[in-house]
This record gives sequence, C-alpha cells and structure tokens, in this order.
Amino acid sequence: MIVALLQSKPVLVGAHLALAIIGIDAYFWVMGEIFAHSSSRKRILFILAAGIVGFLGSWIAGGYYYVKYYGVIVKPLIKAGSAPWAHAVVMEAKEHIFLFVIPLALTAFFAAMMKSEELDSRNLRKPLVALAAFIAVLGLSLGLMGFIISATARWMS
Amino acid sequence: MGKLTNSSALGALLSVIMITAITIYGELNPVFKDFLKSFTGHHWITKSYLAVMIYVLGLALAQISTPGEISDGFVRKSIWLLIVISFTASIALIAFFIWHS
Repeated sequence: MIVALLQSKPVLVGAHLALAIIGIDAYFWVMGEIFAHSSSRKRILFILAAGIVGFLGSWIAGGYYYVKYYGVIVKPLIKAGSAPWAHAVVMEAKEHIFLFVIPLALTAFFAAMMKSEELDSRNLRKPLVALAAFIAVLGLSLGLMGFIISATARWMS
Repeated sequence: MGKLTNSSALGALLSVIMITAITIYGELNPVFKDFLKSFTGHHWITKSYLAVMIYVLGLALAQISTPGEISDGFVRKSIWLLIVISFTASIALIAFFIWHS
C-alpha cells in the first residue's frame, strides 16, 4: 500500500519537487551563513547534509518517474504537440544537467567542513559562497525547466 | 580538508566533463546510446551510475596521487574551475540539444 502510494505519479512528481526545494533552500541558506562569517560549523554541515539528502531524494523520485512514466505517457504527448522542443531541448538538457548536482553539492560540503577561520586564512570563503550560490541557482534553473515541461504537458492534454 | 575539497572538485570536474561528452556522443551515435542502455535498460540510469562512479574514482585518484597538503591557491582554482566548467557544460548541453532538435 505504502510502496504503491510512493510509486504513484503525483507523489513522485511532488516528492521530486519538494526534495529539490529542500536542496535549493539549503544551499541558499548556507551561502548566507558562510557569507555572514557564521561560526556554527555544526549548523552549516547539518543544513548542507539536509540539502544533499534533498537533492539525492529528488534524483531518485524524479528518476523513477522519468524512467517509468514520463517516457511512456508524457513524452509522446509533448512530441506530438505544437511545442516538441519542451522535450527535445528542455527535458533532454534538464535530465543531464541534473547529474552535475550531487558531485557539486558534495564538494561544497567538504569545503564547508573547514573552520570559519580556516576559510579566511586560506582565502576560500569567496569561492565557497560562489559554489553554494551556483548550486542553488542551478537547482532553480532545473526547477524552471521542470515547470516548462509540466506546463507544456498540461497544455497539450 | 583542503586536500579533500580539492580532490572532490577534481572528481566533480571529471564527472561533469565525462557526462557532457558521453551525452553528446550518445546523441550523435545511436549505437553508443544503445550500448549505454544495455547495462541498465535505460541510457539515463547508466549515466546516473557513471556520474557517481566517475566522481568517486576521480576523488580517490586525486587523493591517492597527491602526497601531503595542497596549496591554498590550487584549492581555490579547483573550485572556481569547477563552477566555470559546470556552467559551460550546462550551456553546451542546452546549445547542443537546440542544434540537435
């Protein structure tokens, strides 16, 4: 019953989106923490770990939906409609760019394991803030792509 | 942590470049795309495993092949390079699929 519920289309899409939002928010939050010279390394690492779990969960939920349902139900609908580019360009790019997120997120996590003073003495604060911001903006861009694909599918159906 | 951050950035860099190259080559060569599909039943699942495996392998190789601590300048450059290459690879994939569609 629970497995069937987790494998249903609305739950998968909802989980994909909700977990990605956790990941994006976590990296925006950490960007602010590091920029503001927060000394709470424990809090930063907890937020980043939550963000990584969010992105991982989003990958699994979205991936399951993509492989099991999207190719069979949504893709033919979009390709047959007046905006086939929503699949040919947006979905194709999204599904592959998404694969960059976890290695990037883990790199930010390892960098954030350094103490605040260490980040300053090594002059690593700026690149770490930029990396966290890049991950969050990349996540937002993927979200925008997902919105375009969903909107096209709804418009076509 | 500087060394681990550097190794992770290099592993991530390798993963981003390889996934971009494999994706573009797979679209241009259907035989290669089918080859990817033959491992897991879907080319994207194979690429997902590859993204993680290449990252872990790159990280491990960088850790093993670098004795002692890494200079701060090198760690900084690795992170900036990772950002620039990831951005460029994302744009390259979008541009490729626009051209390919």
